[in-house]
Amino acid sequence: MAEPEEPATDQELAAELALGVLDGAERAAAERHMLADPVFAREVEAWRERLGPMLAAVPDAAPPKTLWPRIEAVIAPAASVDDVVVQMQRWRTLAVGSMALAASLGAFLLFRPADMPALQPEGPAMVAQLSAENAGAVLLAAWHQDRSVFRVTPAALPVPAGRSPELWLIPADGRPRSLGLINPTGQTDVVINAELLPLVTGEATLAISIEPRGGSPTGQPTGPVVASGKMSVI
Amino acid sequence: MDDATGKSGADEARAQLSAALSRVAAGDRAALRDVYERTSAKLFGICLRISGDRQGAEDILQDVYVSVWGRAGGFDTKRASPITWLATIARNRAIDWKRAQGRRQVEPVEAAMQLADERPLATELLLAEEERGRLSDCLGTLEDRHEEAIRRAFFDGLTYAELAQAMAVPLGTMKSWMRRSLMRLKDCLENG
Repeated sequence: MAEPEEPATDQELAAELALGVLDGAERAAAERHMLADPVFAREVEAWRERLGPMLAAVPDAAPPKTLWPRIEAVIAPAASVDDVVVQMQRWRTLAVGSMALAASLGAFLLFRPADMPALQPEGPAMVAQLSAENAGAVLLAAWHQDRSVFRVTPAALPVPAGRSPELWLIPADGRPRSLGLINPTGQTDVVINAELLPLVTGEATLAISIEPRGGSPTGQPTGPVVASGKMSVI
Repeated sequence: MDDATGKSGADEARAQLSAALSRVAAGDRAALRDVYERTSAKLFGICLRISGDRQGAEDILQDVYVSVWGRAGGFDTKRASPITWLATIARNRAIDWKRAQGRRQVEPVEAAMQLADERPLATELLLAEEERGRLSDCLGTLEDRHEEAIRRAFFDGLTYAELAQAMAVPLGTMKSWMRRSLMRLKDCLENG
C-alpha cells in the first residue's frame, strides 16, 4: 500500500513550480496560490533566479541572419489601422506569444503547458488577464463554462469618444473571432454561441480592439489592439 | 577570462544590458535590437538545447524577443542578472513549445549540441560567473541521481510523473528526493 504523501511546504512548492515538475491539478493549485499570495510569488521568482545560472553552461549558437528581420516585422507599428496584413501578423504573434505579455501574470503563465486540458470537470474553467503592452491589466475575463459565458470586468479601459471596444477570441489557428462589444466601464457577460465553444480552450488568446461605434465593419479587427491575454486554466 | 575582462567587464556588460532593457520598456525598438545583438546567441543556444529542433528553436527565439518587447516593463533593473531573466524566459518558452509538440520524439540532446557550434558573441561576459560556479558546486554536493533528476527536469522539462518513469522510481520517492534536494540546494546556496 502506498504511503500517503506529505503535502509540500510553501518553500518546496515554490521550488517545484519554478523547476517545472508539477503537472495537472498540482500545478494549477500552485499557480492559483501564486496569484493569491505575493510572498509565495516572490519565492517562486527567487527560485527561478537560483536555478537560472544552470543555463550559463549551455553553449551559444548563432541564430540565422533572417531571424532579426522576422522579429522586427512583428514589432513594427502598423502603417495605418487599415493595414490588415500587418495587423493580422501581429494578431498571430499575439496568439502564440501573448502568454508573456500579461506582465503581472507573466511568471505564472510562463509555466503553463500548452497541452493542459482546457476544461476541467470541476470548472470555473479559465481566466484571461488582458494587458496593454507596457502597462498592467486593463481587463479580466473569467470563463464560466456552465453558462458558456465570459464575464468581462474592465479595470482601466480608456476608449475614445465615438468608438467601441470589441472583444476577440483568437484560437490556435490565429484567426480572430468577434465576441462582440463590451462595456468599457462595467461588467459584461458575453455569451458564447455553440459554434465558437470548441475554440474556447487553454490555447486561446483574448484581445480587445478599439473599433468604430457599433463594432468592426469587416468582421475582423480594424482598429488598434489595446490589450491581450492568454487563457489560463485555473 | 583574463583580467581586463574580469569582474568589472562583466558588471559593465550587465549594466549595459539592464539599461537597454529599460529603453525597451519605454518602447525603443533600437534598444531591442541592442538586446538582441547582446543576447541572441546565448538564448538561441538555450532554445536549441531544450527544443532539440532547429526550426522550433528559431520560432521560440522569435517569440522570446517579441515577448520581451511586450513585457520589458516587467524587468526589474535592480535584478542582479538581466541575462538570467532573459535566459529563464527562453527556457520556459522552449519547455512550453516542447510540451505543445505533445512530446513527440525530437533529436536527442547531443544532436542539438552539435548544432551549437558558433560562439560569435562574448555573452559569457554577461553571465554571473560566481553564481554559476556556486550553483554548480552546490548541485555537486547532492547525490548523483538527485542531481540528475534536477538537471533532467530543468533541461528536458520533465514533470514528476515523467521523471519517476524515466528514472524508474515510484512517484512518491521522486517527490521526496526532489524536495529534499531542492531544500539542500537552497541551504547550500545561502550558507555555503
